[in-house]
Amino acid sequence: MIYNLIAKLDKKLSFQKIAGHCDIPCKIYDPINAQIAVLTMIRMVDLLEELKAKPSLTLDEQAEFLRLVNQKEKHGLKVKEEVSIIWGDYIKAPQLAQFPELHELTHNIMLAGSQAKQHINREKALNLLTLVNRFAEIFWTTKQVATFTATCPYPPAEKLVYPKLQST
Amino acid sequence: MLGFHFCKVSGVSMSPRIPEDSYVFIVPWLKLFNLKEGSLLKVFHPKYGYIVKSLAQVDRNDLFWLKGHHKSSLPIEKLGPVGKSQIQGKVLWVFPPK
Repeated sequence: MIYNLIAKLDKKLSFQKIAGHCDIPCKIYDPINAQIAVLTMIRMVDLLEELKAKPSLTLDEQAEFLRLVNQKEKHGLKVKEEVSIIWGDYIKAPQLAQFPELHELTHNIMLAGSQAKQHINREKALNLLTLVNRFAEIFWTTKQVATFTATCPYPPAEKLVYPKLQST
Repeated sequence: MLGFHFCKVSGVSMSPRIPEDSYVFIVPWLKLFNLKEGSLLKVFHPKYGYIVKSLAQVDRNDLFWLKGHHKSSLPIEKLGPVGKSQIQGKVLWVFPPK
């Protein structure tokens, strides 16, 4: 309760932010988080479509609807955040020289992410997945890691770009 | 007036003691009193800006060595020591998110 009260004050007064982190260049980057977040969005769309097909919703189903929309929204933001971090922190001149499309691709991911968030539309979510998969493909190529495309072994069973990692 | 203020903490380096997105209540003048090992401090770090860290030790030159609590936090020797004037206050209360 106190936390919520302070959070409300924060919205009004904008308290100063202090970092509990040091923005360490830890070099740990992986687009898989973004890819899984898009898959989650697609899955949420599928489940929402099931609800949409019903003539009316019970109270439980209405609660489920809210949870599904909420998760879709949350994962949409996650996609954008994960891609932004890789773009902002990892992508530098050598990667841009190798893949000049990177700025435009990242921007398109942001736009497609918003589109997928705004609608309950599988096509829009799939479009986001295509872009994020391309981003992942480029990311691994810049790390000299080959990739392959496979269907993820869980719903929504869509194609994902994976790195071909080998144990040494 | 007395300089009390709230700050919001970003990052996980102080978790679990200060979980990410917690609010902390800072009292600036408490830094004038005897600071103990483990005291949570708001510090203006020349390289990292405003950070919240735990006091690891005070050396014989009266410099303050700071540390985080999480494994991802920068090690104490990388953070380096800070002078008392860089300490902006002591954390009196932590309000973690529910």
